[in-house]
Amino acid sequence: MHIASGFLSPPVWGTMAAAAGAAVAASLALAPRALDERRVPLMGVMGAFVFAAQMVNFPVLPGTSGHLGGGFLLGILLGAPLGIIVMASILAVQALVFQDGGIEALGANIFVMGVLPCLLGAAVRGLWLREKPGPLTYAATLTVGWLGVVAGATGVILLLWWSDVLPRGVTLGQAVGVMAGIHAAIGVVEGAVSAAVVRFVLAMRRDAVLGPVCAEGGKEAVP
Amino acid sequence: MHHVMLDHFAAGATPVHRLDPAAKTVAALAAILATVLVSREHFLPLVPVAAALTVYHALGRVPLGYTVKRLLIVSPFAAAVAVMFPLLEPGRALWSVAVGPWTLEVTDAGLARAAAPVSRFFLCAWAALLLLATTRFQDLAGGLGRLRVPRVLVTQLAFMYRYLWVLSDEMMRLRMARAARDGGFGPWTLRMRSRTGLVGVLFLRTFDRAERIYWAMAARGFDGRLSTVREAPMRPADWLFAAASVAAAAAIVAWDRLAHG
Repeated sequence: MHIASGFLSPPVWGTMAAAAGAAVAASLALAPRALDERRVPLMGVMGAFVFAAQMVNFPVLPGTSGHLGGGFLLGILLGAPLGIIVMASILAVQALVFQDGGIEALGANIFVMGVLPCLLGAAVRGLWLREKPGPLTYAATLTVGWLGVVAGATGVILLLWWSDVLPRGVTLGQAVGVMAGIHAAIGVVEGAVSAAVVRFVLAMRRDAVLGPVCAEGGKEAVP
Repeated sequence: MHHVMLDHFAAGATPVHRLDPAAKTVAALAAILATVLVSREHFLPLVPVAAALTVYHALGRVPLGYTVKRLLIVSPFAAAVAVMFPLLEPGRALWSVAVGPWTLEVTDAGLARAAAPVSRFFLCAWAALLLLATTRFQDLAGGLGRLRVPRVLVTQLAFMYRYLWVLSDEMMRLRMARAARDGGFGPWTLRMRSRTGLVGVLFLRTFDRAERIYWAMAARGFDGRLSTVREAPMRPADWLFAAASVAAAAAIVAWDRLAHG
């Protein structure tokens, strides 16, 4: 769903680049609190993790499948600033190396697939940090994750409409309807899988993941 | 999987390969910006961009088949729009086909409107492709650092690229193990759970791996900064290449604005 080169008009990609740039700059400014040198490899490898996680296809409806976007999951597990930095570099590598998403549209893609889902993930992170996540936590995670995907898909259509590259035979409402409709199903997967993965990860290694990566004085190296 | 799958030709020794990565990045950005800043109704100003990319392509000895193949598979997004436009834009029908109860019509206006974004897409993807085909990724990351991209981001890119293949392999092993157990069958809930487990296990393994990497780096004197081996200064040729690219891009955009209003 990456926006490719040549579609957005200069005012649109300029605005989105400024917005995404500001978000990444804010994340970089906020990150040092969480980012001691021990976190450097963790964040880099987390980017590679999202790449690999995107390889897993989840059956949505018969005949169709979707994969995780990853931003929402990172927002919950790492918090917004680190999640945004990781997602921004993933999208940059996808644009540079795989030509998946345009270079000039990178800001728009970072905003839609990085900043937005990471902020939403961070919004429900607080619920997971509590000692016992209950049904409310799952329901909220599913809903907010779903919302992020549908809002992102709608956002892409709005950006295309603002750039005047929607076919004239289609109204804005129809385009949003189709795109949001398709992504309503994908959104359920994003929300449900993110919730299930967070639950799994926390059940296995709660302290390691939510606590500081290595507590003061150094924790045991992992065998 | 291995990185040679992507920067397979980046280890070449042509004059283009020897150019400074920062200079090449600036040139690629200049080509891309010129392409997307030319107004949509115009195609003539794109010709010099295409010509410059062709020359670069030839000098870099990048195989044509590789580029064509990569360009054709890269963007489902562009492909979807390219197909949608001619069908959904009202206009004179050039060609129509009946699909069940619907009639699909390819219109002249639709083709004309699809041409602008699709041509830009190809030029931009081509420029990015050539940059990566003639520059090793680690050098590119170093170049970005010299272009004042924040150090955290550069480190992030370098790490990601290094471990992309490692984790993709790990994921393939996990998937194969799962497939050996359930063959992709079973009730929906079970399949969902097993896939969720895959992602969860991969996350934990990644987490552990990051810690091992940190200890290994600390043992080698890591102080929060990555140092790259190759830090050659910009030669006059590099400055010339970067400056000429930027000047040419500016001239193209100015030409488009002046000549076409």
